[in-house]
Amino acid sequence: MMQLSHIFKDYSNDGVVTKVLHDVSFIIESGEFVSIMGPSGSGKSTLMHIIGFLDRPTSGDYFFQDANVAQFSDDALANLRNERIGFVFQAFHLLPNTTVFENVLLPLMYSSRDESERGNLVNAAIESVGLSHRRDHLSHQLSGGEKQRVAIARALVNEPDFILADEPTGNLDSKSGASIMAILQKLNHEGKTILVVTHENLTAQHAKRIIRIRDGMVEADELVNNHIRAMEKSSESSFQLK
Amino acid sequence: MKFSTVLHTALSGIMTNKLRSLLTISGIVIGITSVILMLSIGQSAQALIISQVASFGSDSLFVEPGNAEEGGPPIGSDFTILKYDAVMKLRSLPTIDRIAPLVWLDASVVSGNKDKRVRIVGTTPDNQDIDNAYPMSGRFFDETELRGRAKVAVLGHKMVDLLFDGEDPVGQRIKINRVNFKIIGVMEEQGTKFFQNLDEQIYIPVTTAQKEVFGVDYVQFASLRAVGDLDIAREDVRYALRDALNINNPDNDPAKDGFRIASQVDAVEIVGVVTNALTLLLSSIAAISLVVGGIGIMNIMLVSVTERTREIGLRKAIGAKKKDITIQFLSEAILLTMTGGVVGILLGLLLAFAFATVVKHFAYSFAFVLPVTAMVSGFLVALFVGLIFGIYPARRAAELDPIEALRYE
Ligand SMILES: Nc1ncnc2c1ncn2[C@@H]1O[C@H](COP(=O)(O)OP(=O)(O)O)[C@@H](O)[C@H]1O
Ligand SMILES: [Mg+2]
Repeated sequence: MMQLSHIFKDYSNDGVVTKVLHDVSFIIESGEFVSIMGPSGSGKSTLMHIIGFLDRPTSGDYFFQDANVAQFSDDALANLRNERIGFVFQAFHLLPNTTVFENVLLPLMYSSRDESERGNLVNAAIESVGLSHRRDHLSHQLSGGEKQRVAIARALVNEPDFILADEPTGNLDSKSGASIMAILQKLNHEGKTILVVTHENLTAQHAKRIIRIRDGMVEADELVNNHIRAMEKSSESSFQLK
Repeated sequence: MKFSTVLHTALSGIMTNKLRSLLTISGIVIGITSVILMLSIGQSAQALIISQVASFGSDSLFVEPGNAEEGGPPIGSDFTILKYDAVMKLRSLPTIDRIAPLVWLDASVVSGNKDKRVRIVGTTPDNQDIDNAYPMSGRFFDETELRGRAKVAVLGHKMVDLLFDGEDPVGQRIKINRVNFKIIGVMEEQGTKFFQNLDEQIYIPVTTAQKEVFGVDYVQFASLRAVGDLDIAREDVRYALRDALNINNPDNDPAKDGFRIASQVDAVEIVGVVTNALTLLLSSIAAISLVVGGIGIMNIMLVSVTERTREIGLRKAIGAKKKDITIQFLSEAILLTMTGGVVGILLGLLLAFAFATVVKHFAYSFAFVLPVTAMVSGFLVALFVGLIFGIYPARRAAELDPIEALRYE
């Protein structure tokens, strides 16, 4: 469970204070699929970074599984990011000149997991995004949709409870985007808590709940009655959902 | 992170930009190469000089013209100061039991239809015991022949081949500077001694050499064999020579004598002093080149950190701690400099070996020396340079804000 309570975030550069988040409060329960939706510049990414332990709020409290995050050291937050969270970014952030396998392996290099476990975890993660046939390809040889699936595999490899995706379909065509949303829905079905940041209504409609943000404030927090199911529309030929 | 993981990550960081990595380490390579090369050659040269110096017995003393007690050519002093009769008076000293005043000069030697320039050494019969070298056939000249300025010659081992095509020369005649000499013996093989090939010279009585061949009354050098303590013998020789040469030295200052007395020990000491000075000089040159190389490494690592800002942000997002990022970039820098170190060591050894091989062709027993200490310290220095110049870029990478880093275009 993640509980945000009166979160404020300001940036001050050379005396100029930018108020990015203003009194944001909500709770995300385990197993939810939530979209954080809002126009560009509304503070979605900033919010996601705080939720994902990459950033700290200026004020307000953030409780993660009943523990106040403010009390954690930087190294403890790094461990949380490694073990409990998987990030997916708009720009993929894969390492160049590196194979799919090595990219997916990366989080395990910073974990305490047994060496013998690693290969299996990586292969399982790659398989769950349908890229086993690309395992030894170099990351820059892949299509955009494939790159984002590698990024999802990397987010999954250390078996986290939460997947945080910041505009995961932002750099993709609609077909590839749909397949990414399908994977996220499948993962949610398997029990992972999913948080997707987006400015597109269509993408947001894949979630079970939408938190709308405007100017750093929560504008609306609503359940989606008939969320879009991307599974049927999944269309990349190489990708078959089980 | 495990060591193998660290190594693998560092290696792939380096391999992404092979040419740049190569250029980056060139400064280190050059620095280490020159250290290894110079120290190896220095050690070879030192070993050679010491072996040549040691070919003089440890109980020998040498008297030569010149003022300074330690080293330096006899500039401004009288090189004719050592008169034969005065030097021969040292014979009466109880602490000296053998004495060989020497004159030498290259002269024309004619044997049959052969005409060669050969080093002629005027000496005394005592020369045999001082050099520990004796005739292998015939005999050396004796005291009577010395006193009588006999025109007799003893050939160095190789001269038999050079002048007589290997035939027995004893009893034959040769002309030295147009003076007729009778050959009475051939020396055993001796090799080189202080860079002189003793097998390619001809011994004649020093008295004969002075009067009949060179026309001088002084000797260039005197070898003495001491009995008992070398320092006592040295003092004895000093006072006796001042006496015999009528040198007035009330200050008892050896620098004012006009001659100097040396021993093998002095020579080894001088070689040591020279070698140390050289080593110091080379070390400072190497240190400068390594600092320059280190700055190059630091520069490239800073560029690399900037280029890989997004990678650093990503690594932090997926759980890398500051320590992990520091180790990653530091190990990359150290791997770079250590590669440079190893390449430098190998290159230096190769060049030193090539140098030794070439020098060997010029007769001297110049041997390649594996400079083990230099190799080890070169390796450690390379590691140290990587550590010193890698820490700042690595810390900068570790301090990057992951959010800024992920946004970085
Ligand atoms: N380091 C920063 N310094 C100042 N302003 C910032 C900084 N980071 C983000 N902002 C500002 O905060 C606002 C929200 O940014 P962001 O969370 O990235 O929005 P979104 O993801 O919704 O597009 C933007 O106006 C942005 O310019
Ligand atoms: Mg954003």
